[in-house]
Amino acid sequence: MPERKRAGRTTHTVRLVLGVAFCLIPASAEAHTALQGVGSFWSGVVHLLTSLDQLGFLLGLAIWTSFQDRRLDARVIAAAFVAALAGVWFGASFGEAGRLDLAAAAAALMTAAGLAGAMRLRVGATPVLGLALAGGLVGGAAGADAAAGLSIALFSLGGSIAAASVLSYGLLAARRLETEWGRIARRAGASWIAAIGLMVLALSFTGHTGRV
Amino acid sequence: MLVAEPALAHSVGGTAAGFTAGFLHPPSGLDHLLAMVSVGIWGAELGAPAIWLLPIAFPLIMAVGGALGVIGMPLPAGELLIALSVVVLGTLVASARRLPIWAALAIVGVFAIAHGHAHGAELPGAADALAFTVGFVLATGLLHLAGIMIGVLARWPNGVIAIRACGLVVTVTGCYFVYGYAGA
Repeated sequence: MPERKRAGRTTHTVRLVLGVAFCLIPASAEAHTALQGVGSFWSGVVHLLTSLDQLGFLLGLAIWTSFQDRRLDARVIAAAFVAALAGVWFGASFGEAGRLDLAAAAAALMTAAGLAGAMRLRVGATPVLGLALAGGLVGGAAGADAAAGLSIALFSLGGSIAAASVLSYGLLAARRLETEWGRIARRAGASWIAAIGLMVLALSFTGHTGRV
Repeated sequence: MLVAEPALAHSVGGTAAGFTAGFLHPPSGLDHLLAMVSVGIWGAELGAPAIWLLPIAFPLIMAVGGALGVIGMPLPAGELLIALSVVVLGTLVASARRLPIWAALAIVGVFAIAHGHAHGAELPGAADALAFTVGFVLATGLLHLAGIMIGVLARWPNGVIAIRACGLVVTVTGCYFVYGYAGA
């Protein structure tokens, strides 16, 4: 029994170390343009996880979805997954044309998701699914330029799995906050996301993409 | 693994520097700090729905002001408005003034525009503007939260006195800011 316990503890430690090691993988000179050295799949994963606007959108969407019927969760995750997958292919087909517009669109969608969550809008399934599809498509397309020289299939798969995971964990966390203060915290968090989105949108109109 | 390569330091520094600069911007300016905390305290004094409505509305309205600052739209007497926000919010906290929610939102909204404009005007020059934005919105929210936690002290008689004294100190400091603005 103690051996089994020790083995379990060792597995846990190994998982922890691997997790920390993954988090500490140093970023390249342009962190957001993905990690070419770790392969196409992980580049797609890391690209999404280092994209603050994408993370903001997904968390805003998770908060908004958490105010809807639970049965919608799986459909929203599926929509975001498929749209992110398609978005990278779409972006790769059209190149870097209209990249600035995509940045503005991503910021606008982030603002919309945050506002909808902050206002706790309950408008049925279609707008939520529509926003998930639009956000996935725009986010995927905006990240396609980072897949240059990589396998588009693996990169898009990595990105879409990461998007679905962030959305799933966001939903899991948000669904646990069903108390009165939890609902307030969710709405406050969504208002922060909307505020960030609005500022990034303004930046994109001034020709500043928000990154150096 | 942890050995930093020269080429790698730049990107991490850029994002981290942007986030740190944004995160430190509200608390490092005493006028911003006092105003944000006062919003939280006043919201707690007013109770529901102001306790959650003000901290939710403030970042959104502040972002509108920030967007105006980013696109370069001037805000006349913006610094004076920020100084006045400290005086007014401090007075409201000190007097535990109960206003209708629409009036509270209007007061906080006007000042949020001024504070947001000040943040927004500094954004385009930031090392990483997106990280800067995330940092300052997060810091603003945490300052509101700190204010709400201070405001919870109002449940105890001595806490009420302490909060009112805090409000008075904020008002006096705000008057100093206004005096400084007038003298400049």
